[in-house]
Amino acid sequence: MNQVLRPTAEVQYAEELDALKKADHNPKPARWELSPAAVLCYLLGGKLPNGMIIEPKYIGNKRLIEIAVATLATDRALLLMGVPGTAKSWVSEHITAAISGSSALLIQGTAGTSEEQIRYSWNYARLLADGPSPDALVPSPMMKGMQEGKMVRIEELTRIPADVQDSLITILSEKILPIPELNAQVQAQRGFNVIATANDRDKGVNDLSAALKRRFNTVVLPLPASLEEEVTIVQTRVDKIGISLNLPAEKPAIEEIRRLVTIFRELREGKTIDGKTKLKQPSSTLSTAEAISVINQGQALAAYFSDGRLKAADLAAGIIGAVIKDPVQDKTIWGEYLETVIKERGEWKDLYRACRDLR
Amino acid sequence: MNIHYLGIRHHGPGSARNLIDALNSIKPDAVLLEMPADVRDALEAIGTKAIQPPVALLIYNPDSPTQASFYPFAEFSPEWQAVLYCKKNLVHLRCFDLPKSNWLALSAEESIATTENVEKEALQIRQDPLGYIGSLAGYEDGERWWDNLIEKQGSHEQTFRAIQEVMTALRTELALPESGETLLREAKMRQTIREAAKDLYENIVVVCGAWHIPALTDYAKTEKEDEKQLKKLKKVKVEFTWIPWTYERLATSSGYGAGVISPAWYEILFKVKREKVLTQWMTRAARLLRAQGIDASAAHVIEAVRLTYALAAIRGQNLPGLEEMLEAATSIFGGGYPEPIQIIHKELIVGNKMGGVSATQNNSPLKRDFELHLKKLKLSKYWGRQEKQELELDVRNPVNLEKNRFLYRIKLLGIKWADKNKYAKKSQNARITYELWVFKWKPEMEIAMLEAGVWGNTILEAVTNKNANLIRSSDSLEALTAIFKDSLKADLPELNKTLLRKIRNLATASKDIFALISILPELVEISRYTATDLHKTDVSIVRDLIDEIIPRLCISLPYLCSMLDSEASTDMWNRMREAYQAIRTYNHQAHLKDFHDALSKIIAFNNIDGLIVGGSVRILSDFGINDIEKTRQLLSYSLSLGIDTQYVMRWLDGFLMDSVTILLFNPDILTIIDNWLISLKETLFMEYVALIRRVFSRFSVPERQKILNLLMTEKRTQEAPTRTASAEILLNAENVASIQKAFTEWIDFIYLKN
Repeated sequence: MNQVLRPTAEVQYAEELDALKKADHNPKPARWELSPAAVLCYLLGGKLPNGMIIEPKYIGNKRLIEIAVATLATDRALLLMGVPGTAKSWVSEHITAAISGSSALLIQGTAGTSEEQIRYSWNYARLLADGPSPDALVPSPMMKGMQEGKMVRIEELTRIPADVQDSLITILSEKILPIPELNAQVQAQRGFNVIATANDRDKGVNDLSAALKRRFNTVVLPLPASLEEEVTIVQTRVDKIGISLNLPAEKPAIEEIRRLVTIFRELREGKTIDGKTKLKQPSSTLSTAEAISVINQGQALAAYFSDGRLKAADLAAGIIGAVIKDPVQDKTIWGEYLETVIKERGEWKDLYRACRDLR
Repeated sequence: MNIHYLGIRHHGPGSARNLIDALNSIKPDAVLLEMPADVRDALEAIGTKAIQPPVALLIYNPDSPTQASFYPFAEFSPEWQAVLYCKKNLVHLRCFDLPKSNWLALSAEESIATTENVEKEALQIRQDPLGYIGSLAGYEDGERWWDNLIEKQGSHEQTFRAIQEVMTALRTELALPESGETLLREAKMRQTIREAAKDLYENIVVVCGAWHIPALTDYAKTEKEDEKQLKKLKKVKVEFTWIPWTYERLATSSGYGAGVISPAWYEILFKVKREKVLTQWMTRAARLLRAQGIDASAAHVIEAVRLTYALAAIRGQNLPGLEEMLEAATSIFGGGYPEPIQIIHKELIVGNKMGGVSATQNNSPLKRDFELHLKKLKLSKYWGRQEKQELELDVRNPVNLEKNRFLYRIKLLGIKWADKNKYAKKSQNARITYELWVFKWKPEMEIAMLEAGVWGNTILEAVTNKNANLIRSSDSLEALTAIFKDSLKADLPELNKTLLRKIRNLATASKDIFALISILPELVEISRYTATDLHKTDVSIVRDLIDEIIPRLCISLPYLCSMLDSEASTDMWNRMREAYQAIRTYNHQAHLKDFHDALSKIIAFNNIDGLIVGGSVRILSDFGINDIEKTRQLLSYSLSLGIDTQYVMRWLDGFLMDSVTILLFNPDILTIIDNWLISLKETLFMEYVALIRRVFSRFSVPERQKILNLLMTEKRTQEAPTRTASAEILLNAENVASIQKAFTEWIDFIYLKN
C-alpha cells in the first residue's frame, strides 16, 4: 500500500491521465500533455471511447472550468478566487496535473514569502567561493516552470506582501525573468503559465495592485449551487479521505451528510431550505470544505470512542465549532437557529438534544 | 408573375439585414406584410417624425379596452424595415393577416379549437421556430444560428430558400395541431396573395413569420375553402394607436410571441457588421464600465476579445455569442464577479432605449378608461385646468369613497395631478374620515398618461402592474410603506398582499432601526383603518407586524442612541417622539412598557445626547413611571457643575419639550432650575443666558407670565436674587438688549448683597 499520506493528483489519477492521453486526438497547445478538450473531460468527468469512466474532479458550474482552461490556452495567467473551501487549490492542482503532467511546481504564498522564493536565490557557499555563476544559482519553482515550459501554481497569492506580489508583473507580461547578477535572463518556454489561487474576503489579505490584476483572468469559484450538488461533493470527498486515512469506521450515512449540509446552507443563505423562515447569518464561512472536515472529525470520534457509526452526537461538537466563530454574536444566532429550526424538525430530535447538551 | 417568400424571425436583426438585401435585389412591385389588414393606415406613421422606435401599435376594441393586442416594433424588426423600404421606394404595401376586427371577435373556443392538448414545447416551437432549430443545433440564441446559416449559405436567396425548406420539414415532421386562429389567419393570407396576383402585380414579395411560409406556397389550390371559412367571421369595432415602447418591455413580453431577450444586443447585431460585433461590443462595455469608475483599459478589451474567441473555440462554436462575451467580460472587467458589470446587462443587453410618440397621437385605452372614470365620478372639472383647486371628501359617503380610491390610484400611477394637502392639520380621527385633495393639472400629464399606457389598458391594470414592478425593485422600507399607505386607500387587495409580504420580510431582516422607527407611525395609522372599516382591507397582518417591530425597536434603541452625534440625535428624537405618539395611539400596555423600559435604559447610559436623555426623563415623569422625587434627582444630576454647557441646554430642551406644565405643577422642579441658575458663576451664567432664552422663547407669553407669577408669589419669602434671576429672563425673553441690561443689574445686585 502507498505509504504517502496524500498522493499528488497526477499519481492518484495516473491511470485516467494515461487513458485520456491515448484517446486524445485534438490539437494540443505547445508542451501541453492533453488538448484543452481532454483537460475539460478530466476535470468535469466523462466517458472515453474505450468505455473508461473519468471521475469528475470538479462538481459544479461547467462553464467556469471552461473559462479557466480557455484562459490558460490563450497564455494568460489564471486567478482562481473564492471564499475558503470552494475547491480553488483542488482545481488548480488538477489543472496543472492535466496540462503539464505534474503539479509539483508550487509556491506557497504566506506573509513571509520573499522575492527570492518567486525569482531565484543563491547557494551562498558557491557564491562566496566562485562568485556569481549559473552554478551558484538556485532556481525557484517559477524559474523552473519558465525554463521547462510548465504550469506553475501559486497558492494564496493575496497573502504575499504587495511589493513581493509585484515582482510577478514582468514575469507575466514580458514572460522573462532577468538575472542582473549574471547579466542574463530566463525566457519562458511555450507551455509556461501561472495559476494562482486567492481569497479576497479574508482577514489579513493584501489586495492585488491594478497592474498585477490586469495580468490575470479571474474566475470566481462559488459555493455549491444546490443541496444535492453539495451533498454529492461532501460524500465523494469524505469517502476518498476515509480510505486514505484508513479510518475503522463505517461510511457515513447519507442522511447525516444531508442534515449537516442543510444546516450549513441554511445558515449561510440566511433562510430555511423551504424558503419560509428568515434566519440570521453567522460570521463563519461554513464552506463545503468545512462540512467535509466536520464529517471527518465526527467519523474519527465515532471510530475511536464509539461503535464506529456516525451519529448526531459525534457531529454536534463539530457543527458548533464551525458555526460559532464570534463568541457573542454567533452564539445567539446559533441558539436561535437551534430553538426555532432544528427543534421544530421532528426527525432531528437526536441532533437537537446532542447540540443542547453541548451548550 | 413571381412570388418570393421571405420567412423571417420576428425581431431578428439577422432577418432584418437579410430582408433589406433581398428587397434591394428583388425590387418587388408589391410587398405583402404579416400585419392585420385593417391597420394598414397605421403603418403610414412609420418613417415619419411622429414615431421613433421602439414603439408599439396598440389595437383594441374601444368598447372593451382589455380586448387588445400590442405589436411592438424596434428598428431591427424586419417588419419595420419592410415598411421603410416600401415608403422609400414607393412600393405597394399590403397587410395580409386576418383583420383585427375579426380576430378580436373570435370567441375563446374558436381560437383554440384544435389546440386542446398543446404542450408548452410545441407552443415555443410555433412562437420561435428558428430559435427552436437553433437550439437543436446547440445554439442558445436563435440569432447565432441565423448568422451561421447566412455564412454558410452565402446569398440571401439561398438563405430564404433554406428556411422555407426547413420550415416545411418542421411542419410536416412535427405535425403539430394548429389553432383555429392560425388556420384562419393563413386562409386570409392565401386569399390576399390571390388578390394581389389578380391585381396584376408582377413581382410580389411575401414577408411573414417563417412558420407560415409552408402554408402559403400552394395558395391557388384552396380558394373555395378559404372563402367559405372567412365569410362567416364576426366583427367588432377596432381602433389603434401608437404608444411608446421600451427595450425593457420588448425584453419581457412581445405581441408577436417571439420574445427578445436582449434588445440592445440585437440592435448592435443589426447595425454593426458581424465580424466587428465582438470588438465593438467589448469596447462599448469597457467605456461604460470606465464611466462607472471600473478599471477597463484598451488592454483589458484586447484580453477580453481573446478570451471570448478561446471560449467559443473550446466549446466548438465558430462564432462567439453573447454568453461567451459576457463570461469573458465577467472574468476580465469584473474580476470574476458578475456584480460590478451589472450595468452591461442593463445597457448593452437589454438596453434602456425608450421610443417616442408625439402627444397628438394619444388615443390609448388607458386614457379612455381614465376619462370614463372622470365622467362617472364627476371629477372632469379638475382635469385640464392649470389653476389650483381643492376638494374635501368625507369618505364615509360611498360616492366619495369611490372618488377617493380613484384619486389614490392616479397618485400611485405616478401622475401628480391630485395630491394630498399636507398642511391640513386634523385630529387623528378626522385624518381617517376626511381627505383633502389639491388638484394641479399640467400639460405634461397628458404625456405621463400616454407613457403609463405601457403598464396596462385600464387604470386598475396599469396601477397594479406599475406598482408590482416598483415593489419588486425596491428594498427601501420607507418607500414601500409609503406606497402601502396609498395603495390601501386605493383598494388594491392583490398589490397590498404582495406589499405587506415584502415589507414584513424586509422588516424582519432589517437591522436599520432608523427605518423601523420611521415606518412605525405610518403602520399604526394604517392599522387604524380597519377600526373605522372604511377601507375594507384586512390589516390584521399589519398589527402582527407592529407587534413584532416594537419590541425589537425598544431593545435596540438605547444602543443606537448612544452612537449618534448631536445632529443625528435631534433627528432621532423627533422620530422617537412620533413613534411614542404612535405607540400610545396603538394603545397596547405591553408595548408601552417596552418603550418606557427603553427610555429608562437611555437615562442610565451616560453617553447619549442630552436632548434624548432630557426628553426621556420628561416622558417617564409625565407618565408616572418615575415619581417626582426621581425626576428631581435626575434633574439635579444633569445640572451638576462641570457638565458641558451644550449638554445641559439640550437636556433642558428635551425635558421641557413643548409644554411648561411640568414647571407649573411642580414648583420643586422650578426651584431646582432656579437655584441652579443662581449658583452659576458670572462667566458661566452669561454663557447660559442666551441658551436658556432660546429654550424658553418657545413658550407663549401667557405661559411665561404664569411661570413668572409662580416665581414671584411662591418664592416671595425667599431671598431676592432667586426671584430676579429667573423672572428677568422670562419677562424679557423677547428682547436681547433688555435681557442684557437686566442681567447687568442682576449681577450688580448680587455683588452688592455679598
